[in-house]
Amino acid sequence: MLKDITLGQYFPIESPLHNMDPRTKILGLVFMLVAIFAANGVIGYLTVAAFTLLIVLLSKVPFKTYFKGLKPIWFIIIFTGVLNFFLTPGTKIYIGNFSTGATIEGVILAGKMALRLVLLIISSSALTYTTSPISLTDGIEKLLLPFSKMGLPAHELAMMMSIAIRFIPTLIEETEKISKAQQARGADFDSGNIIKRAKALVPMLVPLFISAFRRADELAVAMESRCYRGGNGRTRLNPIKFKKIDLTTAIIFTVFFAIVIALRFI
Amino acid sequence: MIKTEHLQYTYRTDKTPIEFVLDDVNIEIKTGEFVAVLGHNGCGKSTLAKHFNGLLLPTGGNVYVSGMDTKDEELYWNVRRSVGMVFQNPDNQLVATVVEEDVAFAPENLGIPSEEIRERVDSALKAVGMYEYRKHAPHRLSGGQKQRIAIAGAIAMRPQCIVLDEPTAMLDPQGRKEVINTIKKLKDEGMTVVLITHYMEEATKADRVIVMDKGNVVLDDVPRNVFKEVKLLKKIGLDVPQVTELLYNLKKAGLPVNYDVLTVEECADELAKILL
Amino acid sequence: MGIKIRNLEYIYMQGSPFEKEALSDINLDIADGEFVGLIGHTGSGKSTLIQHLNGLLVPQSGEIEVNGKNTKEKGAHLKELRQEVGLVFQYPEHQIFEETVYKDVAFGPKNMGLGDDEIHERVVEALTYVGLDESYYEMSPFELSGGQRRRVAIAGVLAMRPKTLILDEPAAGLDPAGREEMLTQIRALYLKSKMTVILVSHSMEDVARIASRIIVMNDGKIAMDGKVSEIFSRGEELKNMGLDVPQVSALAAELIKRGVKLDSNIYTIERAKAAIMLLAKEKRGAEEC
Repeated sequence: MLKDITLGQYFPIESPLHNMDPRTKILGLVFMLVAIFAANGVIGYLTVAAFTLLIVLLSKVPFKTYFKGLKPIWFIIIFTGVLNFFLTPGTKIYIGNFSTGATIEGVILAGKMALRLVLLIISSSALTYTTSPISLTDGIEKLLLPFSKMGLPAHELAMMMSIAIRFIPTLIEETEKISKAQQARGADFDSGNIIKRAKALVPMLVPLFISAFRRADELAVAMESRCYRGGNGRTRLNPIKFKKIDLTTAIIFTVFFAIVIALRFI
Repeated sequence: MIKTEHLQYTYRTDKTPIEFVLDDVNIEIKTGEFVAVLGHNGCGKSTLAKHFNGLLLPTGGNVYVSGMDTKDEELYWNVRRSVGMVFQNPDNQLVATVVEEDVAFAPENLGIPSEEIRERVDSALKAVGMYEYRKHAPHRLSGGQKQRIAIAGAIAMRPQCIVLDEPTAMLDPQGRKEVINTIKKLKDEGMTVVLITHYMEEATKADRVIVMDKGNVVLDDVPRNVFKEVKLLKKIGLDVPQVTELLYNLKKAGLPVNYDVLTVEECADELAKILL
Repeated sequence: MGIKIRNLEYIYMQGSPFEKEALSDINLDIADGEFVGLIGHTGSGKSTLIQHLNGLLVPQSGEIEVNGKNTKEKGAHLKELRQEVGLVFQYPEHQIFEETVYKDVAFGPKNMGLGDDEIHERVVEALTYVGLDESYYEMSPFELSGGQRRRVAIAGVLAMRPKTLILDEPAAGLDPAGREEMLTQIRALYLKSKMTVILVSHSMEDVARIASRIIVMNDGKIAMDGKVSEIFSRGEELKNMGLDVPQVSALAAELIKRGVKLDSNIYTIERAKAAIMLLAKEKRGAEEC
């Protein structure tokens, strides 16, 4: 079911990672992603993997949850893996006298890609598991603020994001309800060719859109009643603060990043 | 606290003859009062509610909130913050993914310092009995709980009055009870409350009931006197308490009973007189 | 043939941290032509139960037979089942999507693969049932009032000519006059069509007036099952389950407590009036002697 997806969900516990300024974590993730793709050689990969493990430990979110988050991408890993096995040119692997069609380079490349994907998902999950949607959007808003002078609506973007996140579960529930109601009227969503299936979605999507517009309208009135008038002069319940732990983290990340890049050029 | 003078409202002024949703409404709500506005769907009661915090502005006449004319643009936000609003659909008025963040929304908009927001959020959540849920995600709560969060969100503005527009219409009996008990508690603590509803059981709990029909006020009195008007209320599509209707019918059938009762106990007292 | 449920169990979100037992050990028989009121507070399992009756949910354990067909079987069977058991969800007006009233009501019959003439006949019949005449056929459903939109949605299910009609809180959100009209219409529909009707509600008052048998659900189990009068004589138990009894039932209980010789199965104003009139007459008679 749609509700079972854990990727992108917040995990409300206490941990050093939960405590950090979202800006540190967002920038940290950006460093991390560059490092994952820049990493080269066994030592490089080990460094990145070890660092990811450290982050996971610091988040205090159980390993099991991270593994669950990986579930939706196993298919992609295996699929790209198989493609890499056979399509990478290089030394063919033989079992006895029989060519398997796979290459040694292919296997290595597939392994690298799989590792990268897994690390990528784990480190992104570490951000969303430890940062509530509100502080995440707050962080993005603050990071984008310098660009608002150039006309980028930083506050509005962040507000839109947080409302979208807020309404995802509501709309999922609504989708299930409408789908059941139409099935009760004999609608069939699971058979026929692509065109037939796409057509079958109309009775689902129209009510869903109508309801989303109605919700948007009511929400706007409710927000106005609660004196919402844009980002100017707004204060926060939990203002984000750059603390000592953030400074330490920032230094560690920079050092780590430098090591990975250095390893690439040795 | 809130006063309307010859309030008129129409959604379209280009059509003739002009159809008024509200036509010459004159009411006054006093500080600390609990007033229920009762009426069937489409009688204009929600339109009236939206005038109380300036969401809608009168096409004719005036609305005053604590002496402020809602049409005065300079007082716009002062009017808004004086009157908290709670709407029908609990899902469509919660903005945040964490309960306490949602309650903080209004004070944040008002630019209140963080420490004071914390204090307001905590006391608002305690007032509606949802403090233990402050870290929860609203979409996992029941309808009644969500609606109590919405009430907390309104009172965190520290308004002098709160207006609830059919807050129980989408709730089950349990949720309805939770919300009504919360409202009564706020009233006891001195809040002015305006409850828009079509449930007469809820209106019986108010200090005063205003009955609306076709954009007009048809009755404005204490519940006991309002619900005595069984015939009139039935005619405009409203209910009266079952016990009131029962005694009204018995009286019509010739039994010597008074039917200005609202509760089961009062009705039992009345019947005991003739049956025991 | 009717509906036969044996040892039905259902666990919600099995295997997740939100796992919850929604139904346990349900055994139930509903005969053709019955008018059943299904009562319970939110989370009592009533919504889960009705979704089992047209195969939207399949029993995790236990069996359900509807008109001799087991709901676990898939394929053509399921299509037939969906047609035979019409399910009207809460706030059904939210499922409307076509540009005219007529087209929306025709959606169900079209899915059944019927011919145009047959579809037309059914649409007209269904819209007549809910009291919408020809002048509404070509209107957009979104121009209608909330109550009318709901009737269009109900017609959409009726047009499939189900043998069993299940309505989940059909009066939710309506004002007293609208509620009254809706319930009267359902009663009339039941009498005219000879369908089995299952009315799901948490309002004892509404159900008491129009159903003949009441099933009360609590914590995923069937707590009571019997005639309306039998159920209402157990007012105290109902209250403990978080259900409201009609004010007149509470009044009858109070009067009995004070020593008035009343029947405990009073649940409508008419019944209460008749019983009290009778008592008053007897008393006056006794005083005159």
